[in-house]
Amino acid sequence: MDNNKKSFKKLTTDVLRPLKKHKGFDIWLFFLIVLFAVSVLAYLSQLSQGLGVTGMRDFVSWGMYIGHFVFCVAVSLVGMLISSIMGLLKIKWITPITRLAEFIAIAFVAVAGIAIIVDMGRPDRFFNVIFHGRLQSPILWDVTVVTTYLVLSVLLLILPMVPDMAFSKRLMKDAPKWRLKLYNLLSFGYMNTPEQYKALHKLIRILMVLIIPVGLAIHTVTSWLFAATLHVGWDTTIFGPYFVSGAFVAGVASLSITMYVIRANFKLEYYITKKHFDLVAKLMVLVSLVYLYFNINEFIVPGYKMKQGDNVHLSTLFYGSWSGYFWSAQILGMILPIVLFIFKPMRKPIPVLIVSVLVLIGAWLKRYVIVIPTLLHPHLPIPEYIPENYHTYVPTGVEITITAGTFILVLLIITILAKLFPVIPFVEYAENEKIEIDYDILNENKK
Amino acid sequence: MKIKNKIMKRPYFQFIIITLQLLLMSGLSFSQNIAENPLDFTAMSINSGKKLYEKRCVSCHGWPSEGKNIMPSIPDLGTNITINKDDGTLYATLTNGVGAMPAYKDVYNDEERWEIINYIRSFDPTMKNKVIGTIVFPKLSFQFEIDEEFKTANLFVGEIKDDAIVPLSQLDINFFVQRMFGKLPLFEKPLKTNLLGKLSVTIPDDIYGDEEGKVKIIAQVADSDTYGNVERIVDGKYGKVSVYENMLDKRTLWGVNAKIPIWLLGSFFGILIIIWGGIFYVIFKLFRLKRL
Repeated sequence: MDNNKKSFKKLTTDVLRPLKKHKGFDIWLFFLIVLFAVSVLAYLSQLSQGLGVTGMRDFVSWGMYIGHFVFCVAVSLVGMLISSIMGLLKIKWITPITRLAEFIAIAFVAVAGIAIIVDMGRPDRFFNVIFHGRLQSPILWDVTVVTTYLVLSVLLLILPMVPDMAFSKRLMKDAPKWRLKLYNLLSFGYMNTPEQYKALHKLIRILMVLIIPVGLAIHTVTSWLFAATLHVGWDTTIFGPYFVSGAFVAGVASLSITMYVIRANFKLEYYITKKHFDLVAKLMVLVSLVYLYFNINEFIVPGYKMKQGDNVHLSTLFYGSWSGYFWSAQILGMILPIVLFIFKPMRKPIPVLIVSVLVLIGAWLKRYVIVIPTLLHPHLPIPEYIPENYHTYVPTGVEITITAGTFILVLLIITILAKLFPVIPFVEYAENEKIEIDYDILNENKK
Repeated sequence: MKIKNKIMKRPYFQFIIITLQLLLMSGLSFSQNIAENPLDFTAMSINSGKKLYEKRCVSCHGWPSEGKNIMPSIPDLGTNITINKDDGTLYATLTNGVGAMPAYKDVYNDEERWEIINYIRSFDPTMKNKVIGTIVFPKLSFQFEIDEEFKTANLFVGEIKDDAIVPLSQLDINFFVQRMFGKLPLFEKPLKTNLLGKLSVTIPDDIYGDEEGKVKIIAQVADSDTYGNVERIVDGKYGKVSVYENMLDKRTLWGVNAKIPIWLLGSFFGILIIIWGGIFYVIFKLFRLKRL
């Protein structure tokens, strides 16, 4: 009994220690802010000079920004996969990394929204989408569903965190006042009474169920932005599940990277174990195989028939000017994890980290390849008198800086969230591991 | 046929064809310098030209100097744009066509084309007093009315001679309905007036009018060489009512927001209410957690 109480103490100490002030963290934060400021400067120049500073022109009017947007939406889907699907299936080992998945989901879906605004030449007209939008347009559905998913993800972060907050506010007495106030607010007066426990878990289950259709919708609707047109390469019926399955691959890759970095920096090796990397790598094989199945359908079926438009498009991808990007995306983002993670030695933390970084690069390239080559083959041929730089698309320095800046913003959000809240849901973890929770902590501070 | 195909395949032949087409299109036709009007500028030729003009030209160009050409790019032929061009240019255009205008060399013979040009020239103020000869058409009394009850068109044609009206019997009359691009003949052949100079015909009941069923019915004396262009127009609700379906009034996926299909509207807000209902329920219950 006493020993058990001790282990809960160790758990809370280990999980809450990284939340304290740390010099290395401050340097990292400063570094991120400086990089972000540079991209803000680039954005200001785009804002004042217009979208002409990008490589986008009349024909390729969706460039790197939209590719990046699709990538962000894709990665954010990991929140739904890990905390909802795995949670509803009552898979216990996933508990220590569910909160990380939710951090990633929030960061990426928020930045996805920003990526859309960055792509607008007149962002001050953003609200025209809502005031003058047409409900028939998938763009309006996308705005709706991205917002909904962000709200659900935030709730799915906050609700499972309520017991942790109740403990944290009492255990971190020397923390700054604003932090204690925030913890107090987010603990919602939780005292672990049986009624509260039951009600809270019911609410979490409602959220888990709600987020599944919304999670599927966010990426399906994003795919419809493309698939609802007649463009070669986009005009396909499987784009919804194709995007969703690809999203899981990108999401799991980003989760493994975050796991590795947080585990190493916050010294959480005891909680996020080698077993977690092994299992996440296996999960990656599963989602990559599903993605492979959709890729086979997406490319073999039109490739077998080679209709006139598909012929031009697919030959550009398979052995034409886009083949470098295409095969990099396919091999890095899909084949590599399947082939490597089959072998047990590759499922150790460092190989998992390296492969996941490659998968994430492949996943990003894949979205780039989905968006741009199709636009280079418009419905009607580009007339010859059109200036040379309208025929091709080369992202400019400003564009790359801004895109990198949105990625920095993702890191910034994850960093701040990980420093603000305990990254491991320690109350739930203790329940799973049969560590006796010292509820006296909640009661002794009641006065 | 085979030989022709072989010729067509030769690159230089195609080159010549393209060059010729370019020359014709740019109005640099050789014929414009060569062609001179072989006809005299007679009142008779102008009158003949007018008849030909009515058949093929008026539907797009409108009557000269009335400004009823259907498009700005298709000029009113009574304006300076056309009148300032020389006969050769007009002849080349009429013969070979230009832009969207077809070639008329297989439609009207050489003389007919020149008659049309004479007719167009008659709108040139400087040419007005150069017309050779005059045509004096007989004065006609032409009454045309439609009996709405019996849907019959009744007409009377007589020649006015020294205050007396002499009925014209066995006179050919053409009936038309005015359509957007010209006159639609109502009957295959002209009908003849009786001994009293009268003619009575039942109007077919399958003529479509506008949204109210209004149509313009035209009775015209066929022999314009003798009588000139004599016609009477009656305007009334003698046709069937045309129902025009405006696609923009329907609820479609491509319509404006107000015209959204009901199923989509229902689905969108239905899903939105369910999901956000759940979200608000969770938030509401979360804030009541304290009381439990």
